[in-house]
Amino acid sequence: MEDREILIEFKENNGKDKAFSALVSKYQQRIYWHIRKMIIDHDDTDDVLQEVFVKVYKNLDGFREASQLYTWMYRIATNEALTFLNKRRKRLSLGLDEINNELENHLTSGVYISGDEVQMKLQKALLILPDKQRLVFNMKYFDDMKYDEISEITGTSVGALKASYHLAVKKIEQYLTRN
Amino acid sequence: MSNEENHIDPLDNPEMKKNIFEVPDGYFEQFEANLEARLDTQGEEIELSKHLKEPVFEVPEGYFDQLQDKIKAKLAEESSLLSKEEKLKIPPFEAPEGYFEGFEGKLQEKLAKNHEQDTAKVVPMYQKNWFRLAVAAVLVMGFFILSPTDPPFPPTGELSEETMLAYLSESDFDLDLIASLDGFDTVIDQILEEETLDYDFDLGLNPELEYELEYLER
Repeated sequence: MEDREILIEFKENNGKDKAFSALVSKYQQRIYWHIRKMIIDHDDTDDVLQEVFVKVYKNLDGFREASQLYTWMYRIATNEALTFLNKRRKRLSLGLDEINNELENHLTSGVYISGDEVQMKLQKALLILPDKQRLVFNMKYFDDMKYDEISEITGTSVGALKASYHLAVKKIEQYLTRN
Repeated sequence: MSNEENHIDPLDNPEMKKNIFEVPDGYFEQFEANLEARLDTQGEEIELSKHLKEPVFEVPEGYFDQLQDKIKAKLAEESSLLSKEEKLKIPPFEAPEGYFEGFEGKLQEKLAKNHEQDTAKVVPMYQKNWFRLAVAAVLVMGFFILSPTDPPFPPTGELSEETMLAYLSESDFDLDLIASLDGFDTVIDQILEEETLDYDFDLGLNPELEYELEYLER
């Protein structure tokens, strides 16, 4: 089902559930992996994913189609993931290093994680980046997204994104070479 | 004889057609030689100008033939591990088996539960305007109360910028701090954001808190 059809059907009262169901089936995996790469732990990702779709359900009526549907959903998912990390940091009074240690613990716990040494090393390297830089790196490196798309999702200029990605690559390469 | 017959047109006078210009002695005899000399000089100038434009720098032999390969090698070196290792592009995460198949059902349950809560929900306290105003009032009061040694505040009314600056410079306020703030709204929004994050979290753990707030609202 095309996004446009989903939107039209969602706005008709009797088609709401069917349209939403189509939307969830279509996007659940993409949004899940986007969040998972930020939050790392599956259970936390699941909570945030549900919250994202609840927000989508509540706000889809007012979606003005100024951007593409999936860009809009990515934006919600991005905000929710960053908010989750901030909340956790504040709740546990953790600094950036400590929350990263916690994320690293999830990484090394091995629960729903399978990767060889090199892949795990890259994931650990990613944890040295600030959240937003990690987010940009994930979208560019793993998802091969265009800077324009990332710009629309994050509300950051293309120039700033390029600089951020370039810096992230440098930091990661340094980490990988040192370790 | 009539006057007309007597008239002679001056232009008909052969003297008028006589060339009054002269050339230097031997001009035409030397013209060809002069022309050749001039052409030679111009040719030399053109040659010189061409020569000056020639680059004085040289590249090693075969440099440009090897350049493309060199650039490719450099690119490969620059991109290092991140692009060499194809498997790095694959995140090592997995989802539990059947997770995506069961996700929608779980989501529907959550939506139904949210709907039930929404119907009985009151507007959270932090969304009320009076709450924002109260925070603003506390901030403004705190701003002055915490500066007991400040000189008396000038009478209210029209205050010039100079008066305000003079007053602030006599006070113990951190002017850099004040300058760095966009306004009180920034402070209020920051406090609200921090408070509501905690509030949201507490509410998540203790849904009954919402009923207590409802009670306080009356």
